[in-house]
Amino acid sequence: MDEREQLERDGAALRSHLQARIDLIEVGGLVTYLARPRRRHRLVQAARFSFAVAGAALLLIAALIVGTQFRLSRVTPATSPVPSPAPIGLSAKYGIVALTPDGFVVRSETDPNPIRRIETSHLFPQTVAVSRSGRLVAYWRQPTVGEDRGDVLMLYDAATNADPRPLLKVANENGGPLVWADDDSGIAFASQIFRGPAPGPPMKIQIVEIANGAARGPAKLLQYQRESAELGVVRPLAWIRETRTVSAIEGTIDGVAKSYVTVGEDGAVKRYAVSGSDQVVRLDDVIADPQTRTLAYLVTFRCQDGTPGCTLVRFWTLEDPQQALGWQATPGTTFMHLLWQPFTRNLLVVTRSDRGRFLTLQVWSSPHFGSSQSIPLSQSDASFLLMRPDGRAIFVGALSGSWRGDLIALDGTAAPSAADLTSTGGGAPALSITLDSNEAGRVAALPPAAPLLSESDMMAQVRKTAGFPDRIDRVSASLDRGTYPLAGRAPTWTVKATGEFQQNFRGGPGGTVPPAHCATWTFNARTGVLLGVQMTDAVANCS
Amino acid sequence: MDRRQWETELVACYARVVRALIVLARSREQGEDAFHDALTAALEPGVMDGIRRADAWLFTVGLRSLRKSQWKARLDVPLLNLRRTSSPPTTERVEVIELLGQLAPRQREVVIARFYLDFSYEQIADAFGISVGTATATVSQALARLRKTEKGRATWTNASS
Repeated sequence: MDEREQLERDGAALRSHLQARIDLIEVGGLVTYLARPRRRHRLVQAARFSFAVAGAALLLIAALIVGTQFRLSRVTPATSPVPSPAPIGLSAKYGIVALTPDGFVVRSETDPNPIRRIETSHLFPQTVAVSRSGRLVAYWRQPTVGEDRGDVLMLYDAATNADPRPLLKVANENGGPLVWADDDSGIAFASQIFRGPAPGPPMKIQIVEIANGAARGPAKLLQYQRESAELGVVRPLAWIRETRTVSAIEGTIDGVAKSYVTVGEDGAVKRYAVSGSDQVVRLDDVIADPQTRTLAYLVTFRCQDGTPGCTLVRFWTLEDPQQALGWQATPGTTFMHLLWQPFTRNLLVVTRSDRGRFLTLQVWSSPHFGSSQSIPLSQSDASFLLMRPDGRAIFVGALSGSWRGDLIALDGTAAPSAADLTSTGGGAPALSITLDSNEAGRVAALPPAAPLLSESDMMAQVRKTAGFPDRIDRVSASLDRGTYPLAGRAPTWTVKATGEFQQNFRGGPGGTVPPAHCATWTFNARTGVLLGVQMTDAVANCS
Repeated sequence: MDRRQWETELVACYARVVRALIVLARSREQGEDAFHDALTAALEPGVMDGIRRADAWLFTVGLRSLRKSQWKARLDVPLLNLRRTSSPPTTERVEVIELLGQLAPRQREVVIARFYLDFSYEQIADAFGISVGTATATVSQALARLRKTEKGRATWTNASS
């Protein structure tokens, strides 16, 4: 048999083999590839772009005809995506806290005229805190003339718009950053003895319990002490009542975060470094989610090629900082801002394309860290990000003479809409609040902590993880509920499976190593985040 | 290609293109994403006019998207794999992955184009930006490489006997 004949014979055989095998792969209907949620925005974008080009090139009437024809022809029964939902609207149930030079104003989303103007010299967003329900706003007031020295912690009920009431006074101290307990039953705050300019004396962390809009007893001083004089700032991030722990971030007065601290109500303090000489973390870029019990922060570092400005997001479990994961931005992309989405397991990440300078809002579902949904933003600068208390929508906007932006529905039930949050008399939008008491009640009734994932959730996740081309024969899962109350182990699921696993990480991607026959996955049981994968050949003790 | 012709060809070819991309991606989701990218690109203004054959165009554009995403995916491993959704795998499919895994990436792509999608050598040359001679040589080398392996002899060569 000559070479050409051999080639033809081999080709025919291979064709037959490939077609017989590959045709076995199940494929969905064509419409499924157009209607997938993650990509739908791109289709909308492509359609919009086509209209824009037509409009610039043709007369208005011609553009309308062409555009309509194009759209009509595109929406055929076989390929049409789901119909575009109606735009999301502003709601009188929600309001905005906008910071002004002398305090802040409160306004409805639908009305630019403030319903309340509050004077305070504390202008930092961290010294104004909104409760989980969005209804209560806590802030500091300086003593008035004739009062004893020391700031007063105030409480404003946005649903009733009644006059703010004092909660407690910190004698001879300045009030600092504050945060609500995860169930709205108290406030943790930092304070500092009043004395001269920075760096000044060390800051303290205190907690106060609240019931029916009043403090239950005096504030309790926690046994927190800074480690060095360099650490001029401490900011409480979360107060988890179940674990009796306040999580806080320490840093320098110029805003560089240095260490994460867990301070127990019983006095135990643990400290973990968050930045080093080659990695910079800003205090403002550290966020904690009491619902999923997760800490996330943005790290800026020097890239491998020596250029500055590479970014990554690092995650910690609040009660177990040993469970750390990092996620680096892909080349050409920079992480800009982080935000938790309440009552979900989602982290929102604003990214910027280094080439086009355009922004994208990525929704990272924690069991699938990495973008699971990308929403292109129309702004070139996200100066403000305001999450509605119920977590279903977010304002994203930039300062351009006025506070204009987009209101984006995060549950995919509505299309984005333009929103102008400019308040009469001025003010920079800083926080979203709930003005309607029924709505506040609805949000307050939602569980304060994300429930532990079930065994079936884990099994489903593993089956996705070990999907095509892997094969699972037997699988079992076990739950470790973790240890409480303080900085113990976070709850984890361990799933073991026997079968054949092509994605054998021992050799990295590329399939050059033989498949493994035992796989063990460890997940955070509250978030579903994959903590580790182990692949072995031995199947003993594997299920 | 006009809209009507495009839709007719699309309905006829999409399943094979999706499968080809899934096999090359070794991942259902990445393959489907690549196909989706190609489909989205085809809807951009003026693009459809320049398409001569739907399957060749979708495969080429999808392949380009796949290469880009796989390059990015190297940074994401292992967590990226959590995002896959798939139906239960079968042994046959694993066999194909194993078989093609013995080829270099370019050989794998060309083999799929030639023997699964039935592209001519001219179409392969056009799609991959190579000469017809290079396309022919790549296929010959891929076949020779498969024939040398034990798995190759044990699987696809039996189909001809």
